[in-house]
Amino acid sequence: VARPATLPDFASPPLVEVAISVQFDPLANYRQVWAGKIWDLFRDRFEIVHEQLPLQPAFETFGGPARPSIKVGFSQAPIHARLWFLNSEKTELLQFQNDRFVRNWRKMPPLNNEYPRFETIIDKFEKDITSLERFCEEQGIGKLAPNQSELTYVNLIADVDELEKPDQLFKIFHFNEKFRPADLFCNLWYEIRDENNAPYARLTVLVTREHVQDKIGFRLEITARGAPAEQTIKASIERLALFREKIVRTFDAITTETAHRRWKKIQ
Amino acid sequence: MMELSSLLSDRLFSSGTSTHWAPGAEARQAKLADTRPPRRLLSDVCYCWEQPVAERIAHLMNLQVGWDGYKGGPLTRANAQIAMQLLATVCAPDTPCPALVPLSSGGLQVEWHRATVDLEITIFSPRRITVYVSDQGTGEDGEEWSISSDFSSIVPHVHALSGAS
Repeated sequence: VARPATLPDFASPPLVEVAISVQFDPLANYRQVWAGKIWDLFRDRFEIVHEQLPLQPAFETFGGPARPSIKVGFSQAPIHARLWFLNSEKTELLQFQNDRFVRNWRKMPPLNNEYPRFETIIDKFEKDITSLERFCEEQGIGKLAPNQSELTYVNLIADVDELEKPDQLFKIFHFNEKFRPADLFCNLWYEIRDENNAPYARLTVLVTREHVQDKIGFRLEITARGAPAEQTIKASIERLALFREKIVRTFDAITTETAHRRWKKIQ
Repeated sequence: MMELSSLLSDRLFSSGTSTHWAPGAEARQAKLADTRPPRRLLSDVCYCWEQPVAERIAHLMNLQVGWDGYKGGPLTRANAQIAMQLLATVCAPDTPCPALVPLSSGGLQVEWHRATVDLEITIFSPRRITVYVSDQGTGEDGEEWSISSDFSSIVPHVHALSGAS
């Protein structure tokens, strides 16, 4: 995956986490006993293992107002844990459950680890999910048929006093001294459409206030999710590359020039 | 029901106390969680089909393997989720409650049969959904087509049900 030449770039973005996810049709013959063998695929780089409750299946759908619906919980059929495979520094994470594979990178303040950039993370993700696909087919666990791609960027913004007011950070807010909220929670949804103007994915922008180190700052979470053009890993990766471009352009569009200077915008 | 997250930077996970989220037996019963705030205003819209549909879906998710006398399995979580999303998208508050018929494959058929309209939506998987409509506009043979994530082609047919006797 190559970086688009015209994509906005920042030398010091407030990025603290990136999560790349592919959801697929449940693996028909997966049983919990396979968990150890699947860990073996990644164990040399991810030596810490945890079990978590599985994530709910999530699908972006269109055609009406985005009204919250009743969420479906667990069935009596056996549920399999979501496995966390962490590296020793706990900066990288692989997550596996029988219908999802996720790779996370996060910044750890004590380590001050550099963001390795999307191209590096997505290449590793593609390699790992391809290993998983091959293993599942060889062992008869099931065919890995992706149905949703999802990419999330989390930014924590704890800046100096001049940037504490939300309208000095974000172009989407316009407050004045007489009408300045004490707190805020903002969730915006945008549709991503194809060349025929048909929606196929959704971009979500979430802005909240959050403790950042010893200050109150802002959490800016941008997620793009939708179906790949085909149920293949190649098509899922292509979708994720497109989502990265949408997310970075959205980040650039909704934040101010003042904030860009602080984050050392290159182009 | 608490929403789970896949992010490390969510506070729930950043404290390092995540291991207590191991699955427990109490989570194995099918549940439907209404995550919306309770109705408190007269202008809040009440969707009369929603509760019976939710209860029926929970029941179908709890079917035992072999419920059909063969090897039929329960309604899958993914198909249940997409069915709830589909209905939330296309149904109006006064849409008649559909019949929900399980498929042995774990899929679901959502059906309305009125005097002048037959509408059947078959969910084989979240990526494979077919729609069949028979009404005055289509003639006796009806029309059938496939959809995936965009449900807008169903909306006019579902809205027409409200007026059909």
